[in-house]
Amino acid sequence: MTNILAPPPVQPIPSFRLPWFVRLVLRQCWLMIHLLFSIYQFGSHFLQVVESYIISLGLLQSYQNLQLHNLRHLAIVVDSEEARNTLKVKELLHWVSKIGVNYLTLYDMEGVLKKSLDGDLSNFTSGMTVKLLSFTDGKGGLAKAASFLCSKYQNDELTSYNMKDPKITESEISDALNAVGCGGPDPDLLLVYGPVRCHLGFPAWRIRYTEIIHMGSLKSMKYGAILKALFEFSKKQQNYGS
Amino acid sequence: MANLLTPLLQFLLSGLDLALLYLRRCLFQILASAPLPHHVSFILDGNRRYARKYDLPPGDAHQTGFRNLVRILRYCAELGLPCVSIFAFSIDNFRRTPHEIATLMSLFREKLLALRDDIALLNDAGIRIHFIGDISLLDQDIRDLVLHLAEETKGNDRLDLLLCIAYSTRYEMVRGARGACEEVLARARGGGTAGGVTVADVEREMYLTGYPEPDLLVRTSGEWRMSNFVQWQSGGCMLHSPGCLWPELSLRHLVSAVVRFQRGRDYLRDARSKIWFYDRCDFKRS
Repeated sequence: MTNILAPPPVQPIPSFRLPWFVRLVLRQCWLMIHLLFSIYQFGSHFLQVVESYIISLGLLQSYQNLQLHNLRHLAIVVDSEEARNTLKVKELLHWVSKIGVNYLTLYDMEGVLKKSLDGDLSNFTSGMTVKLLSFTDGKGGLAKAASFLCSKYQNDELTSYNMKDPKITESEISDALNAVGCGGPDPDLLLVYGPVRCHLGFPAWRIRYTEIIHMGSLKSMKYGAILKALFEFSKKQQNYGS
Repeated sequence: MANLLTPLLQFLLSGLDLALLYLRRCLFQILASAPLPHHVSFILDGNRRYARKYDLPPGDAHQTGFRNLVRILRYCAELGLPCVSIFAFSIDNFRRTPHEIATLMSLFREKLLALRDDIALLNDAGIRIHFIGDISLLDQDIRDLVLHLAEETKGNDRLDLLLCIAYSTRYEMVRGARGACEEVLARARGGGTAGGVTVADVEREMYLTGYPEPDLLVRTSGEWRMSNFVQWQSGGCMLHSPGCLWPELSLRHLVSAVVRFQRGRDYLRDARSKIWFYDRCDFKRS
């Protein structure tokens, strides 16, 4: 028990207290560590690209028949800067619908997709339901749902002259979210297109058990990478803490 | 001969320990040349799988996991991370078998008692413990221990340790919405204007409000889910899932996580400032 504490941990000395030459040496070492890491990432990325091409050429037996029965709902988060590339987004939609996904939620923080994809998507989506979300549907959505519940309780009080404390439960909030237009099924899988694996504010109510996979940049998206992600997803075993 | 060998061996081992300590301090000094994550969260996944992998009884696996937790916390304290949170026990875990819940609760009890006995050393290390979650769901004696530890360490300021016990994000979102509604209804009954509910109103009753948002979330065992942990607070947080099981998480995994964070830090900082901006917009709805 005591090994965390004895002796008390000594923290790094703040940079401004170090002489300039020590700072220079430390910085060079830091750059070296990051360079080694970059080389490792580059190698790993290269292998992933090769694998994606092999998968999309249909050369791997295991990817021939993807079992998608676990994937009722797919969500994709796109970095807002990359989302401005509408052609790429439409190509992504086309790929996803070709694979056989039935329900897709597309999210970007700033609402770029809501503006650029505002129209008929049936050319790219062939029967797949597509919902578009932005940051305000997340935290703001819960605030709207709470306002809705407040109004409901106030009306109940006015009509029944009975003051009762709101017993707000999870299911009441789910219903309220649906009522204010911020509801929807929980995604089974979330693909993140951007520089960093981060969900960028996707509505928190819905991603408690969602598998989140980082796909890299939208610019360099690969069909084979999506197939691989779906394949890995279907292999995973769900254990909800029970 | 054997009499000389043991102290010699001990001397060599302690020399090795000291050398490793200094190497580690050098490495952390190098990493600290660039900004470090302010708040790192850990989801301790993989204890049961570790037990199955090495044929241990599940209780032993949790003990090994706990020893590793202490080790990782030490590394975090040495690295100078101001805030570390641990997802120790989810409200969803109350669905596990009664035997396993009892095992985990007795582990908490044992460790909390040990912490209480070593409180002076905790204070020397400058660790302030915060318990996050609905502690009313825990047994009375654990609740008392929790409150006692929080009280005794509240003066420390080197490392804020957030222990999330009986916590889940959905649970706190419900709590937040309920609190906001009660406030609005109370205002309306008191004759004032009810108004709508804002995001700030909802966040007021949430457990993690007032603490910094996580910058880096590390979930072991290669699992990609957030499992109802901080999905509300992690809009600008890097999610990292090393493949190792929790008892196997070591210094190199921690360093790798920090290096990855440093590479993505600028992007995350931009994302965080956009979120901050949206949070400050008016979300009132009539």
